[in-house]
Amino acid sequence: MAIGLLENDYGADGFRTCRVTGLRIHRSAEVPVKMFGLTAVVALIIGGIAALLVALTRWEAVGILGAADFYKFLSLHAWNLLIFWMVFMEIAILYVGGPIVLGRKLPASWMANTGWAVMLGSALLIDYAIWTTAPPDNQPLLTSYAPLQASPLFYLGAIVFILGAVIAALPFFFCIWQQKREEPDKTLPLVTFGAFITGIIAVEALVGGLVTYVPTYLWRIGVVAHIDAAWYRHMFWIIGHGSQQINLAAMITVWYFMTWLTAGAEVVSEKISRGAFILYLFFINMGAAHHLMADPVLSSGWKMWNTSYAVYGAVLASLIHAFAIPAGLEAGRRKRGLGGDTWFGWLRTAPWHDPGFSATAWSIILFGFLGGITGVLMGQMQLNTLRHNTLAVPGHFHGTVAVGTTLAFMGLLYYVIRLFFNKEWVLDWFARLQPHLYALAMSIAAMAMMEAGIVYGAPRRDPVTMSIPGTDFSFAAAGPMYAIMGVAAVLAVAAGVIFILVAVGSLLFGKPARMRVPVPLSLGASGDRPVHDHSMRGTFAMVGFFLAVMALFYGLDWMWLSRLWEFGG
Amino acid sequence: MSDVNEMSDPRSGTAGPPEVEENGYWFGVFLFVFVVVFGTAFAALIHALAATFGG
Repeated sequence: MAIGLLENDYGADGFRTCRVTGLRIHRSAEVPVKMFGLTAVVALIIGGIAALLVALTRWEAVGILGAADFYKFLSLHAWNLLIFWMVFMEIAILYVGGPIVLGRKLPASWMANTGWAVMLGSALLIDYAIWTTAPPDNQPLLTSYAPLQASPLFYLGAIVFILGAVIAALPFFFCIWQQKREEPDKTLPLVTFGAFITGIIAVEALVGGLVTYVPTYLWRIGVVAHIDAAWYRHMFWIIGHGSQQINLAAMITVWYFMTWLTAGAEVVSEKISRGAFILYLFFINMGAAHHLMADPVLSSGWKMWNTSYAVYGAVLASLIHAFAIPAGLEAGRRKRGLGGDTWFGWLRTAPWHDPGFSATAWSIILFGFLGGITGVLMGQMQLNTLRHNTLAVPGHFHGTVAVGTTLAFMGLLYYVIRLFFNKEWVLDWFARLQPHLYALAMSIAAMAMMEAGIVYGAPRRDPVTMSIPGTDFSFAAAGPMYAIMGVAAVLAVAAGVIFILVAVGSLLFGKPARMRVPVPLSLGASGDRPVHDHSMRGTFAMVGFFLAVMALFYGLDWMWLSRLWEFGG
Repeated sequence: MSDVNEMSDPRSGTAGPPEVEENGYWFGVFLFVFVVVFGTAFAALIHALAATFGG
């Protein structure tokens, strides 16, 4: 059964032609996409179960877990969702953006299989290490800050997982190299270019991970006598936040791909969009510096350079994408005659019934408003103080990863099921509802976290805050925010369960796909006016609203910062 | 009636006549969620300002 799911009707040369996209797909690329995608869904299930238990603990009126179990499930939640769900999907995205978009074989496909096996084995090892951790070892959470020691199996698993990801990424780079060698004057398609930038950012993060974890593992098993805690913190965030920058670049690549596939978007300016990806290449990792703003070891100059200068290169790139993608959607749909000549007819008539599109659209909207704006604020040296180590930080990254990236990847998987596995979605109505429900619930959960963190200073990571044992310190006032977060999180998990049921049910019981998309890609594709000649006034209005909200919260954060107590006063 | 277009190979020139179907009530679903999410954000902002200046 499992082997059958990986097969398709290929020609003698190993290629088949997708009847929807027209892409020539080689078996050597398609099979790994399915393998990595399926494994990512398994990680989503494990991380989702842990998410439910963590949320029902931080909703302190429920308080389902004790402290020891809370940190166990928080670690499982972090590693399975922030790392395994994301990285398995990102390798799949590299193969889609590379060999599949280019119509090539995947070179050295044995490395893809080897990388997958190594990643899977090491992910299981990390989960086992977390599950069996007992004193004097500590649960690693995501950061595993030295000198707190975690299980040696955890560090070993992290090293092997990183090596597996590097092995799995190599065939993508070989593919790009072959393409440029054979056709040096031909520009890579934008989706391939985005995947290429994602791949480079990934290698940077993964090498940083090896630099961090190898010495730490040697310290943990006694080969190295001492590890410098400040050095660890500095190095860790190359992978710790770098891994999330891979998510960002991959997600934006998916945005370009899915808005084209499901709604007829076109790229209004290739140069500008490519320029934005290049800005990411040089500046996006500077966002990692915001984790170290309260660190006494690093100089003020280092902090200022990264968070008050370099980070704006990344912010500019994000603002460019935030305009270019909806603008491409608007102009592309106007070019195809979809939605009439009104301001927002192109948006009103968009395929909101299609989970591939609605998941992508919600990802764009909510990533921008929830994750993007708060990320810019947190990435600014002074304003970082307002949120540092409060529940507002998980609020931010649930806006980016749990809402933005997860929805984008869910949207992509809906189409992997249909176009690669050739299966119709089961539970059709629920599949259409799922992105809307997930977007609603998870965004409210993220906002409740932000509110608890900013208004009440509620700390992150603590299972009990409303009456801290042995102290008079209490965050009881934040109780209603915890309750809102808890209810919303339960709803979000329910939406996640719907996604799993649809995905797994479709693979097992889905009828053969009928090869369809909401908008025929041939429709209006050869109009006599270039795409950038069509109106984008709807996008200008929406982006203006977005910038106004961003400016409002930037000002409010400075006002709130001025009302904090004085340090050392 | 299908909710999306079935089509043959669009690159081969044999694609059926382009016919884009309505998205039904799902734009209304989007609008509802949009209003709830941004209404919640606005309520959170008012709550934060009240907590700042109210006491």
